[in-house]
Amino acid sequence: MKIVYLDTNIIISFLKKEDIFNEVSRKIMNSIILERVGSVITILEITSIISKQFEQIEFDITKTPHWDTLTLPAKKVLVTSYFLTITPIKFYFNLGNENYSVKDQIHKIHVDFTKSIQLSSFFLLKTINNLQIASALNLRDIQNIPIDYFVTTDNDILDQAKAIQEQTNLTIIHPEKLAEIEYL
Amino acid sequence: MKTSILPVKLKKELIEKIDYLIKIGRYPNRSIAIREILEEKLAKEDYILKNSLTIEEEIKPILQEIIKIKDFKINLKSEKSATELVSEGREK
Repeated sequence: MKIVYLDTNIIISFLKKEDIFNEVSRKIMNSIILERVGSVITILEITSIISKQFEQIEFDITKTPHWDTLTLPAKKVLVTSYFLTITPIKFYFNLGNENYSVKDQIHKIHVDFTKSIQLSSFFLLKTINNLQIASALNLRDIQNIPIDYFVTTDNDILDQAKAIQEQTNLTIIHPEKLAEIEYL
Repeated sequence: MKTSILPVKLKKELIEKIDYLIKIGRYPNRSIAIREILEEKLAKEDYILKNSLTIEEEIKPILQEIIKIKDFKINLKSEKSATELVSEGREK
């Protein structure tokens, strides 16, 4: 069994039937040789995308009891909750704070943020990309979840995959490459 | 009930709609019409703003029911790819 940390784009591809990576994301989701994990930042991004793209979501409202009586925020929460429930991913939450010094004052900040700050010095990643990598590394290093691959279609991350792997020993991989080497 | 006057500018079309509702007898006058419409809207906003826990409690039984449905459909039909949608969110 291999453990894969799924970036949000893989999960959104799974939601979007006509997406270029939908087929491979379904292979990843349905694979019995993979254990899929995500983090709180992933949930945050999924929630945000469903909320912003709500008009573009096809949802079986005729089979949904009381749909018409729900408020718009309730509808968005229902759709997001449904999607998170049916998507075969285990979401983990890194807990704990670490000391971080700013202007000679010690602050307690969340471990994903301290890790993300450390990574910023090494890579030129966008902030959320940085946080996703930080979350994956903390799942591996603090929660002892042996993550084999960080799977993404994000070019910003993929372009720096080699450097990230050399520095952190985290293997960044495109989903199609994963499907190829794991015979999905 | 203590009341105070709130000067509000309204679009001509809105005033015409309110006047029509008065004409058909839905409201006795403009003041009461605007007050009742506002109260109704604010009651909904108040409901929305209560807190997310209320929403979760409300949707829980619905969610439990729909996850049992085998061929329940959910799909995102955006023209943008998943990669683009996620990447855009990360740039903002």
